[in-house]
Amino acid sequence: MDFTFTTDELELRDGAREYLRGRCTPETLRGLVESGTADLAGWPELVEMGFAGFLVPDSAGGLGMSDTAFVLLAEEAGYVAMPEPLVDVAGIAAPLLAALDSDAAAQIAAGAIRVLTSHPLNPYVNQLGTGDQVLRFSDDKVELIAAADIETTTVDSIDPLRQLAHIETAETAILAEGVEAGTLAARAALRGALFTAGELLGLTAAMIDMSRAYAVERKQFGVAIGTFQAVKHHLATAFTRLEFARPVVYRAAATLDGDERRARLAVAHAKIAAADAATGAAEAAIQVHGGIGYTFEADLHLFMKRVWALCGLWGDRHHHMRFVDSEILHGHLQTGPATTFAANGLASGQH
Amino acid sequence: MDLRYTDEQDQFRREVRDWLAGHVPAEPLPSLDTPEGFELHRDWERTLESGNWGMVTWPVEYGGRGCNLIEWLIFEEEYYRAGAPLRVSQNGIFLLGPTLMEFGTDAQKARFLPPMAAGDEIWAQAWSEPNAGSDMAAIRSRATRVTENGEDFYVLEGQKTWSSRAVFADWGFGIFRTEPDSKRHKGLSFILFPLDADGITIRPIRQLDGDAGFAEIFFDDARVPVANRLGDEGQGWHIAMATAGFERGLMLRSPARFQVTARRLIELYRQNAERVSPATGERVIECYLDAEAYCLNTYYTASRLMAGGRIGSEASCNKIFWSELDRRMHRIAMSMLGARAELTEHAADAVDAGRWLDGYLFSLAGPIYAGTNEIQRNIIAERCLGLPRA
Ligand SMILES: Cc1cc2nc3c(=O)[nH]c(=O)nc-3n(C[C@H](O)[C@H](O)[C@H](O)COP(=O)(O)OP(=O)(O)OC[C@H]3O[C@@H](n4cnc5c(N)ncnc54)[C@H](O)[C@@H]3O)c2cc1C
Repeated sequence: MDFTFTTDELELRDGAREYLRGRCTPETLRGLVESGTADLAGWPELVEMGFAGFLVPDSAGGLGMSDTAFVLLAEEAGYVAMPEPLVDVAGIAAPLLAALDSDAAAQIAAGAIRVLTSHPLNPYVNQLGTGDQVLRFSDDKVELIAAADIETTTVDSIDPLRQLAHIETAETAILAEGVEAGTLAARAALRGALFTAGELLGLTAAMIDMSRAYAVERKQFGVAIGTFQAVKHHLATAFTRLEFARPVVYRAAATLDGDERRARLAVAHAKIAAADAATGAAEAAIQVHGGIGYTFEADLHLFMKRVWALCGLWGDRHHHMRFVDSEILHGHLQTGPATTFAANGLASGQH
Repeated sequence: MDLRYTDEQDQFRREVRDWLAGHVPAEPLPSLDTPEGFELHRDWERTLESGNWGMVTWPVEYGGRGCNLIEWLIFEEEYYRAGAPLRVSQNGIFLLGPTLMEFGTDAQKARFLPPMAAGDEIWAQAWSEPNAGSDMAAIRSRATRVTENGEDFYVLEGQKTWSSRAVFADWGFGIFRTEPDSKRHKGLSFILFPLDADGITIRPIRQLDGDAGFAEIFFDDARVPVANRLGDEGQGWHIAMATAGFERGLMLRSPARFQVTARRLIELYRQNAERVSPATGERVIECYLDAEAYCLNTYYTASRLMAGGRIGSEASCNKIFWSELDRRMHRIAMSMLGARAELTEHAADAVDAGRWLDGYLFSLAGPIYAGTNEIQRNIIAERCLGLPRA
């Protein structure tokens, strides 16, 4: 039992943090919003950093890192509200294509192509650029839609840095069918929910940090508003929720390859906990900011809007709650002391 | 990261489980806030000690097993799973014990640790005073040093209150003003005193459930040897904060306790599913998930501490999280019990022998004792988030 990250994982996280906080600043984001595009010129740099091939095996030119490490990366991406579809391309499509022995994985790692995802849980594709391919999941097949075949209609999101499109393409090249397709779609959903939870943790931390900074700087009644206890308690509550969501997400990452139902339960918990922490932190943050929080003038809105969008992706709260309900209230999964890590040891065979 | 128990850890769990299966009383003991219940709980401490299961995390030299935090968690899981009695000696073994090991002299350790471990001396904690609750630095109880017949004593004067288990306990520990005109955190010393000493009077206080779970302690010319001082004179606040840190940190409330409650809540929901409102199921699930989150967070922190990390002010998050979860779980249960929620232990129709009611009452104290949750939120905001003091 060792619930810590390896030094390697932490070093990669620190490197990613330094890079992302330097490159993807609130000023950059504001510039993108002004220009009305989420300019993706930054992608080659992300490839250079090894992010695109993070989960692709070394043999295919990737970093061959673990899902646990990718959660840390997603957290850093969330912290800066990075607009690029990192989770989609690097977290879901790349490892899945690698598992299917598709050349596309190596091409993603090399930055030659980007593959986005379309999934029954998510009606829209985000950040589809020229030349991008789409991995489309449905209940009984997985298709890889070539760039040339993609037909879309665009839809608007409240998040100015999400560019959504609905894929209209009829049936194309099928990668997998039947049971296999179902398994792949389920696998993609697990990864998607897990890494989205990671992004939500980062967004939560960022909103708490920016509110803290604002509470120290903003003065009313002649003192910093951070001296007021009501303000303190809003942020203390948000901080506590975040502290307790983190290990839930990390556990889901560490057990992703274990017992299937347990993994799914852990991911459901991760998504619910991270989304609840993020939603609560967003409400605390706007309250602490006061009027400026209700505008485009403060950076906060970009982070809140991302939170609202991510809460609904890869299974919303209801989707995951229903699964927990089916296992816990209406199923027979053991609960209580000594069952938390049950699939892994003695405790599972109890009674 | 590897979230599997090792073979040794599984083996340890089995050992704990087997021992408990052979020793945990078949019937729940009466409340430890009654004279009879207190002595039965003391007997249970002796039984634990006989199997060397009393203080698994204590070093071997003091009668423990030198278990690391993961083993402690395993022990606690098995302990709660087996439905073993509450620990009447918790103030001693979880709070004073570790404090003594850190700040005590060899003589003090030799004098106090073994009987603490054996259940022969049960300890009460005495910080609070009528005018010093959240503002503990406002304490006024004094310890004045005198020399008589060549021996050095402290003369204790003043009043402590809300001291849990002091009605039946044997010893107390607390902080007293040793420097007469000192202010706030300065001039305080940490002193151990026998509750049956001349000049000490205990006035039991009835708690919400009607039992005398805590007491006022009056000191009127009570004398204790200077050797009963822990640490240096004037170091009392510093040591008390270390003790309070143990309390808020990992040890006071292990996750298994809340996982048991969450499991009972799920059972209660199943029994009442037909008649409760549709939203109840989701509220129950949220409790289950939070109890799991508390468990995960504890394992995460334990691993971090074992890898050399330290626990800081974020311990305050723990206290907020478990106490508010506990209250919520019991509130939901009370609501499901409907017209039978008010029934006490001995009422014929009481569901689960009034355990939910009892638990609800006690859960209301959780956000108050060990530093109120308002104080914890202040600590988090100021120390973890760096917000300015008022
Ligand atoms: C079941 C139980 C067992 C206990 N056991 C012990 C024990 O064994 N030994 C012991 O010494 N004590 C014990 N206590 C006492 C406990 O530590 C105190 O009750 C607690 O510290 C609060 O102090 P108080 O009761 O004086 O309330 P007060 O300090 O008067 O607080 C009243 C209210 O005001 C709020 N408040 C006070 N100051 C602030 C502030 N700065 N900011 C925001 N809000 C504030 C509090 O949060 C609370 O809501 C126990 C209490 C209970 C309920």
